[in-house]
Amino acid sequence: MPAIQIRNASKYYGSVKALHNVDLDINDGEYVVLLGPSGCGKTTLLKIIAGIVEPSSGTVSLAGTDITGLAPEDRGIGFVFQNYALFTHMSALENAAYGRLARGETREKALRIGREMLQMVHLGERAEALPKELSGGMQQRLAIARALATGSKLVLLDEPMNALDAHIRVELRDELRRMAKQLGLTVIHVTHDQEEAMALADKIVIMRKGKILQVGPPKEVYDRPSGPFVASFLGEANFMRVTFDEGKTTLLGHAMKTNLKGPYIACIRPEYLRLDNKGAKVRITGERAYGPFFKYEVDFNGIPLNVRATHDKIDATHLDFDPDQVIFFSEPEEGLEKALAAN
Amino acid sequence: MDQWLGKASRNKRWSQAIDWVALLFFALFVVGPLFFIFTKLGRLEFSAGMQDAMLTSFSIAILVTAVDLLFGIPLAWLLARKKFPLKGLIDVLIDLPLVVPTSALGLSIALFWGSMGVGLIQPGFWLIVMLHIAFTFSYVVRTTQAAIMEIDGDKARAASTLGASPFLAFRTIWLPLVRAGAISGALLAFTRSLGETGATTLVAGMAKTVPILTVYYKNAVPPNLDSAISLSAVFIAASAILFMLVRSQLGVRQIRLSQVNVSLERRLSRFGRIADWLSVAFLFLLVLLPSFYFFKFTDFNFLSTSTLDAIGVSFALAGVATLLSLLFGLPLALYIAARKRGSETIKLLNDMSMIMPTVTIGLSLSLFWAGKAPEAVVLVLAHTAMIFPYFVGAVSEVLGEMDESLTQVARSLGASPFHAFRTVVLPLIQPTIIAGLVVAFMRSVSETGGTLAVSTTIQTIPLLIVNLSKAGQNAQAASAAVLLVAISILLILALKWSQKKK
Repeated sequence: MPAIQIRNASKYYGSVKALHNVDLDINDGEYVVLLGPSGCGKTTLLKIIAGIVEPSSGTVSLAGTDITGLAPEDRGIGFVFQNYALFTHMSALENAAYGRLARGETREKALRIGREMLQMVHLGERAEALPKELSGGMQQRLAIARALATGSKLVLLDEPMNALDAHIRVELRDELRRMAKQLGLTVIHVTHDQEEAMALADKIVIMRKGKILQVGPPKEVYDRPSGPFVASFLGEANFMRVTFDEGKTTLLGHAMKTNLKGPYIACIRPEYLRLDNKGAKVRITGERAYGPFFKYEVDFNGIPLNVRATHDKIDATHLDFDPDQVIFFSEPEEGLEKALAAN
Repeated sequence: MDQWLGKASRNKRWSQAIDWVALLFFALFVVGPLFFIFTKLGRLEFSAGMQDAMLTSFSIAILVTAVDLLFGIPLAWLLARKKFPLKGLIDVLIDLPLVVPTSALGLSIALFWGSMGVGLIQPGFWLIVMLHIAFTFSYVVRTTQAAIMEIDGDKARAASTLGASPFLAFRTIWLPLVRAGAISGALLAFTRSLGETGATTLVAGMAKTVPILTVYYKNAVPPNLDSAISLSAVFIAASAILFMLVRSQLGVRQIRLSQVNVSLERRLSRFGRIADWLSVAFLFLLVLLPSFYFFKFTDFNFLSTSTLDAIGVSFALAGVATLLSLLFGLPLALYIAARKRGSETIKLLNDMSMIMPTVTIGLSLSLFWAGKAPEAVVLVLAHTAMIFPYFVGAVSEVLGEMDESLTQVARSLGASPFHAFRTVVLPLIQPTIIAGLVVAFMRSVSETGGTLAVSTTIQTIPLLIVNLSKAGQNAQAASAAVLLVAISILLILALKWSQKKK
């Protein structure tokens, strides 16, 4: 029995369709990441699950029970807001204890559990501090502790890392995943940061323009994207047009044999291209250092391509690649350029 | 570089000069005249009659403020957070009683509750309470509404996801956070109630508030100025102390939660919905209906000479006073908002000026200017002194809360040309200035008590209404009031329309 089942969920804001007949299953104990560009509907979907937003149509079920009409306070689902929404007029401890108190718990027990949660997120020393006295990272941890203190087994996170520095993000997301697994939580985490998604998710859900494009483990979605948008959003991709004549075509100097016919779009990731002395003749037009790797821009007969390499100052004239790493897509209905756009 | 520095220092000198002129005006034409009366204080007396009046005034103010909060907070919440049919209409209606000059309000309320209306309340203590509620309710609703709208709605949503029922979220999240807004609205209502003179005289019957008693002393033959001054001094001192005490409570306080009775809170949440509509009913039945009841009595004789003369006088007076307030008040408001040297004191003096009962203001002003200028001029200066603090208060309050960068720009005006002011700052604060001017203008048009104290021959509309009402000529008084309200509403609509166009 999946922990959460969404069936045919749609949301309209006037004439704008924020969600378009979305179906999704989330299993117990899974860490699910909703990934997509701004405006793709991922936050709307999250809020519908929480009960903060009402769907225009469709259903949400929790452990088999339809909860679509249930108010947020009756769902028992933890929620961490993008800007944390901490209670600025209460101490960290009171914030953490709020959920238990709201459910009728004795003050003593609520505070005890609150304190435990603060310890777990390493905020035990700051129990009496007001939210404004805490740093961004600490506020985030308080928001998480507050949501977890209620004892909810299902936690929703709305772009929780947005306001944090890059280093803190990396630190915090490791802690986040560790905590989730330790407590046996089911997590739905919304982000537009693909690195974050890859690091955290058991299952990634790629969304665009109110629809779900692909669902799967990170490696699967990365290695076998369902379309050009997914390929370019999770990781990077180069696209080239080819035409198969009786299953044969030439790509960057290689002869390719498949059972495809007609025009297709070939997709190769930068890390599978190799600057070498054999292959297709190219001209290097740019080079940038990224620390652990280097990016090269090359020109292949007027087509710009991105290549990833482990060295700098490469003096090659040709481009080679591994034919097994090419993915072929049929031309999208709206054309490649529009299909790659975020909105 | 030299050229630029030269220009900059010249501009700095200009801007400093303007500040000095504004401060001087404030000192000589507002603070000086307003507080002049206390220099005439001889022996301080505090008779039994005065004590009774103090008790009456403060009890009324407390009662009025309590009722305003009780019904005003739910209404503010409704307006701020919910969408419902007729919301737009109610939004406009709430401000209307402020548009009606208080003397017309007094007339209307007296007619509504008296034998010509529902016949439930005769002139006296309770009628004063009803009157004061009518013109203070909007203050509480608006300031609380503004405070609610400033709060991040996510906080309440967070409370909801944590299991809080709507009522629990309301009392543990919303209320503590809007405390400051509600309190400042309550404070405004309280001080308006304390100081109101003109309309109160129409509905007081035998009851005596401090302003009424002051008028009584002033109108005694021969005028008992010593008692009037004594009473005013004690009254203002008491009000000021109370005012500062409450002001000091304005900060958001930390709260501690105790164990929650979940089923009770849920039941209260359901009741909460009814409470919202009760407050709407309150608005219509106890505020709006009584306030506009006078429309029933008008004889539609708008063109009587006395009415037209009075309208002319009122608007001319208000126009000049408002212009002076703009000219000298804007630099002062900027000065305060920019938190320049001594602005705390200036702000305090400005606030104190608003607390003074208008009759005391009138007395002080007439004493100050006695024999120094013709009555018309004194009236202009008197009205300026009375509305100036409202303009400055309204504008500096909003400016003070604006983006820090704005105050920095105001500060740097010493170095940058006026061009920058005109093209950058001015457009941004224009709506605020216009709103402030409207408040000031309406205060002048509506002003009764102080004008009663200063004027002997010149008749403004409020004075006309008071005189006609006292002579039992309700129909004509009503007509004058209708005309004034109609013009005021047209002005406000024109204002709102012109602001929308931008």
